Amino acid sequence: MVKDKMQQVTALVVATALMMITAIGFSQDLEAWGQQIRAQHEGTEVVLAVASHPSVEAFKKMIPDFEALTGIEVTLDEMEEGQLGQKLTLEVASNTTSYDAAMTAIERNPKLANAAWSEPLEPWIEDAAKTPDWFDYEDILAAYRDMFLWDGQHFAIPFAGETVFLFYRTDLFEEHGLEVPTTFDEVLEVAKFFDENVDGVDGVSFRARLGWEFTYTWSIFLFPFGGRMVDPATGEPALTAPGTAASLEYMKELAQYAPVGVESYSFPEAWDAFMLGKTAMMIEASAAAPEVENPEKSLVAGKVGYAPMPAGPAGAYSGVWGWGFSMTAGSQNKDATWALITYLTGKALQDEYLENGGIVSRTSALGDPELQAQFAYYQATLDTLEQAAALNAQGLSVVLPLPEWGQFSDILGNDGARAFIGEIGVDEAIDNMQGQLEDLLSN
Amino acid sequence: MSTPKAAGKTRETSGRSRHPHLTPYSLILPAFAVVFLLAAYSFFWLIQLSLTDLTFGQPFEEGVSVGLENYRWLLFHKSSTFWSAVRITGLHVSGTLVPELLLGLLIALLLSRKMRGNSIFTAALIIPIVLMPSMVGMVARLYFSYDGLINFFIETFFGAKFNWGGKDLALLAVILVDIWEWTPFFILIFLAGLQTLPPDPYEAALVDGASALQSFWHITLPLMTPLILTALVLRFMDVLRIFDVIFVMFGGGPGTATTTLPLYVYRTTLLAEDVGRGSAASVMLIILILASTFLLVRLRQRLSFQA
Repeated sequence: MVKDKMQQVTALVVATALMMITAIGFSQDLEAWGQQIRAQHEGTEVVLAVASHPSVEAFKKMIPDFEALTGIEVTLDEMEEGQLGQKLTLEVASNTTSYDAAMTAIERNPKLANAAWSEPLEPWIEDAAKTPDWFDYEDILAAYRDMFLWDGQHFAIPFAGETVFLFYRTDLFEEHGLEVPTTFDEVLEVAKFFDENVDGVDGVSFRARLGWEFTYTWSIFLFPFGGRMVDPATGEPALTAPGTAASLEYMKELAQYAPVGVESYSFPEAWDAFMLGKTAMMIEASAAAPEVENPEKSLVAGKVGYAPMPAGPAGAYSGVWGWGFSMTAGSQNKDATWALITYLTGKALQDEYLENGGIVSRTSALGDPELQAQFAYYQATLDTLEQAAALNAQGLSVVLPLPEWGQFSDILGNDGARAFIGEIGVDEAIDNMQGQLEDLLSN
Repeated sequence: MSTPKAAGKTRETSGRSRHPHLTPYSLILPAFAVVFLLAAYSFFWLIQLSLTDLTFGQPFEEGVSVGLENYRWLLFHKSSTFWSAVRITGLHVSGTLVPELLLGLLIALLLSRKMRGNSIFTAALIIPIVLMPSMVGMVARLYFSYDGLINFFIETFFGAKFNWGGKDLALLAVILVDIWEWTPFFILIFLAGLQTLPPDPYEAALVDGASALQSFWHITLPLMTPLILTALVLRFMDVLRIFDVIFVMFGGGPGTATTTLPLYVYRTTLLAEDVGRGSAASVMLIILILASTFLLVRLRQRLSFQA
């Protein structure tokens, strides 16, 4: 027994020492690397297009150190997510490049990569002279790395991967003696319970605003009910699968127990409703978790539990979304840009990034028991990553890797949202969508 | 119309031009070129785009000509929501212009009386107009949210709350914001008009024993008609094009409840990424604006002559 204890203590000491050495090693490496970059690129200006996002807030706190270290000047052009997408599409259309790098969502990657607007990154990642050891590309979760796979190459470095899971109020569930739902039927029951029995608390919040936001949420409800966007074997639109209608009907039913006005909710409203304690559950992006746990922004910090997605008749699934930095093929300052990307998204400064509210994307962090204890949602993230992998194993995914995804998603988000609020019937909506998608993909 | 005469004079006095009949044209050429380059060229390009099948993100040269297919789809295809956008635009235009006009006239009449503090009221009226529309939209989005200020007042006084973000009331919310923002425009124009009316007819009417209502109906209104119609034409063109406030408040949703034609064009071109159909809808919107403005201007001329 004593020997075991001794071994454990020794192991702990060795592990701690190793971690400290690594940390010191990183900081020395960074210093040396910074001098080397400074020698070549001091005074270079790098311009990035970014969306408003918690990770960008973290980057803003890290960039002054980078500028001091390397002498590279960084300018962020920040805009709302939808506008960023349109701006980048317009750049592709007019064949111009106003940025050295852009924050790219999984949804946009095929379009940017297909037009050769963004740069394939394998030559950079594999070049030891350009990519320092402390960057550690392999440490980024494979599911997140492959979000940016196009034609066999990767076109962005992920820094904010996300899944969708179930947020629930531990205090309310305890107070009313409720179990965490594991099926969508139970979600409905619990939501109904809160809506009808607890004053000022609705059942559940999620985003359902017309357009891509509706598509986002619907894609989470679609597959557990057996619905399909396309047939995985042929790639043809397959909304006529019986589960598709069932998933829309379910969303309509669940919306009765959501806050009034949920049909106009974008993600900030959905998050606010939960963070202000107005709903007992939320089905939303894992990226909301740091905000939910931030006592300055959230009234429910410390009272929230995180569970994997509940199961529907066809299984339990989640999806993978996320953001990365892509470098533009037309950039004149690629070396300096790459230095910035490695600095911001590398393993060396991951702790600082996470402390500042950045969204986790690396195995070393998600698998770290200490961080798991600190961040209650890490386990749910890992669980839902498995649920997403289970979906991918069937050849299905919440975002289809198509250059036409923008149009595809808009068709779903348009007629889907119309059916959701009862402007048209579910069957009519599905008929509409199927027809339009067939037109789209046949071109 | 006066240009040729003026040019004629120039010819007689200077006698330099060899082609006198070309002089007026050469004089308006710079202005014409600017207008042509800025407006007409882009309009023709828009028409050209509306006849192609082109995805947003493709280089523009890659558009494939499809004739009138985009128009046919918008007007007749069962999945098209173009007609719904036309209907919502009609509701939005009439729902804003009529109350704004009536309220504007009423408030202008009240303010045209000599009262203390009138100048302060008038100055305050400018505030909604000079605010950035996107900011107006943001603030309105908060005010009209379920737990927002509007519902707070309604609940305090009437004990009910409304879902302003729902499909039944979203358009009304947008209309109310427009009325708040743009009624002052009518007030200011009408106020300026009322202050320039000649006093003589009113004195005559007073002598004849006409009531205030009668002198308003038979004197003020006929004299003000040209101004009312001018203000109406200006606002009409404006309200048909309104985008920013609606975009920020509801983005055209929920469903298509606030998708007016400008929103429809935006959604089709930039979100559905269909440049061809978006351009076709845009061309139809421009034709609608031109045609209805033309009718209003004609009406204005006719009524002005009668007055």
